Amino acid sequence: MGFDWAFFFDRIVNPGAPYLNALVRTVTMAVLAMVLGLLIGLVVGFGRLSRYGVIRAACAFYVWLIRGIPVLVLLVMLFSGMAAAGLFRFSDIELLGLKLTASFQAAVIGLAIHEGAYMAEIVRNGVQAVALGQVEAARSLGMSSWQVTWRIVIPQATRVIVPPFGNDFNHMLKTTSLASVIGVQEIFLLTEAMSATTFKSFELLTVVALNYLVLTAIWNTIQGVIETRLRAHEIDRPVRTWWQSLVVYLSPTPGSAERRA
Amino acid sequence: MSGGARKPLVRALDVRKSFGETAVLRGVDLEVQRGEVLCIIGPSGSGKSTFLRCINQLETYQAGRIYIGDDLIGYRESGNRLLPLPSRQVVLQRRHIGMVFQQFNLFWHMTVLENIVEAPIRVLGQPLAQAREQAMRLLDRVGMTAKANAYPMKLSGGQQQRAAIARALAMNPELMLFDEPTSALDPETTGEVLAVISELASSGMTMIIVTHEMGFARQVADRVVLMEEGQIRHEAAPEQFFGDKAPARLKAFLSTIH
Ligand SMILES: Nc1ncnc2c1ncn2[C@@H]1O[C@H](COP(=O)(O)OP(=O)(O)O)[C@@H](O)[C@H]1O
Ligand SMILES: [Mg+2]
Repeated sequence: MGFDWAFFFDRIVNPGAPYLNALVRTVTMAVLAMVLGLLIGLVVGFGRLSRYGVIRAACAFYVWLIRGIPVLVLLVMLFSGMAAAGLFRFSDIELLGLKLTASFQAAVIGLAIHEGAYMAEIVRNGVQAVALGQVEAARSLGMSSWQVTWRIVIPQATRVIVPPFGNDFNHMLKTTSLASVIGVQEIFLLTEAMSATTFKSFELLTVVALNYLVLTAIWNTIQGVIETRLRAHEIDRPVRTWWQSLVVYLSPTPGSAERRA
Repeated sequence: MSGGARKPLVRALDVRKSFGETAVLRGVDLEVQRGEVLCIIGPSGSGKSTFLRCINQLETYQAGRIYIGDDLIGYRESGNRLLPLPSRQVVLQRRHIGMVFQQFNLFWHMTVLENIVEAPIRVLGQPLAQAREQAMRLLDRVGMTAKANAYPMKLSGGQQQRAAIARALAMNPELMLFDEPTSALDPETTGEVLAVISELASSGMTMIIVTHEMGFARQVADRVVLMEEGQIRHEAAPEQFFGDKAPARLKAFLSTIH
C-alpha cells in the first residue's frame, strides 16, 4: 500500500479530457460568478450610499441576509429547494453553441449572489475611501457629477477595491468545489467519482488540491501585476507595460515588498 | 447704486445658512469689486469657509442672495420666492469660480499636468495640445515646471498648493476663492505659496481670501473684513483695519492671533 507515486504522476501528466473539461468548468464558474458578483456588488454598494433611505435599507438588508447564509445552503436552496417547492426549476440551455446545464446555472447564480453581498461592502469602502476633498475640488472646477464619478471616484476607488476583490476571487476559485453538491461536473466532483472506482482517493485528492493551488497561484500573480500597475503613481520604476509591472511585482525592492506584505 | 463701471462682481445680500439647528451664516452682506482683493479674517467656526462654499455652491444657502455679475447663484427668482437651479446650471455657474482649499485636494491618481488639463479638456472641451500648452504656462507662473509629471504624493505641501492654484487658474476664473490656503503648510513653504497668491493679486484677479496670515492680508488686500458669528462685523482698508484706530473688539481679536 502507501502513496502510489506512479499513479499520482500519471494523473498529473495525463489528466484526460473529462478532467480538463471539469477544470475549464471550475474556472468558468468562478469567473462568471465573480463578474456577476461584481455587478451585484456595484449596484448594492452604490445603493448603500444612495440619498434615498429606502434604497439604502434594501441594500443593507441584502448584505445582512446573504452574509448570514452559508453558500452551500444557498446553492441547494436555489437548485433543489426552489424546484421542490415548485417556485423555479433551472433547465439546461444552449448559449452561443455552449450547453449550460441547470446545475451550472444555479451554481453561478448562487455563488454570484453570495459574492455580491461581500463585493457590496468592498465597493462601498472603496468609494468612501476617495477623499471628499478631491470630489469637492472636481465639482469646484465645474465637472458634472457624472464626470466626477467616472474621472475621480471610480479610478481611485478601483485602487482600493482591487486587492480585496482579488482575495475574493482567490476564495471563489476554491468555493466552486461546493457546486459538486448540486452535481456540477467540476474537478472536485470528478475526483470523488474517480476515487469511488480506483480506491486511490488520497492520490486523487492530492492532485485536485495541487490543482486549486496552481490556479490560485496564477491568479495571485495576475493580481499582483494589476495592483502594481494601479500603484504606478507610488513607484519610482517605470511600469508602463504589463511586462515591466510583472518584473516590478516579482523583484524584491523595498517599495514593492513592503506593499505586498 | 453707482454707475455700471462700479458694479461689483460679487454681491452677497443678507445670506443665511443653517446646519440643522445651528445658524452658521446670519445675514452676510458683502460686495467685491472687479479686480479687488478681499481678505476675510475671523475666529474659527465663524462661518468663513461656509460662506466661500456657498459662493461656489459646495453648500447651498437658504436665504438672501449671492450675485456674481448678473447671475443669481444657485437659485432662480420667481416673484419673491427662490427656486433652486437644476444641477446642470449649478455646474455651469461653478465653471468660472476657482477655489483653492486648505488641504490642496489634488487628484491623487493624476500627475500635476493631468490635474491641470483635466477640467479644461472635460468641461470646456479644449483640445489636449492647447490645454497642455496653457498648463505649462501656468506651471511656469507658479514655479512648478520641473514637477509637471510628478504625482501629488511626491510633492511637498507648498508644491501641491501651487499646483492646485494652477489647476484652478486653468479654468480662466473671473473670481478666485482661497480658503486658508497656507494653514496646512509648514512655515518654510508658506512663503512660496503666499508669493504666488500675491503675484496673482497684482495681476488684477478678483479674489476672496480667508486667511490667518495678518502680515500677508495687510500687504495683499485692498480691503479686509472681520467675520464673527456668521456676520461681517467690521470692514476697512488694511491700513485702518490693522491700524491704531481700529475698534477695541477687532483689536482684541487680532491680539488673540499674535
Ligand atoms: N457640513 C456641516 N454640518 C454641520 N455643521 C457644519 C458643517 N460645516 C460647518 N459646520 C459648522 O458651521 C460652523 C462654521 O464653520 P466654518 O464655516 O467651517 O467656520 P470657519 O471656516 O470660519 O472656521 C462651525 O460651527 C461648524 O461646526
Ligand atoms: Mg474654515
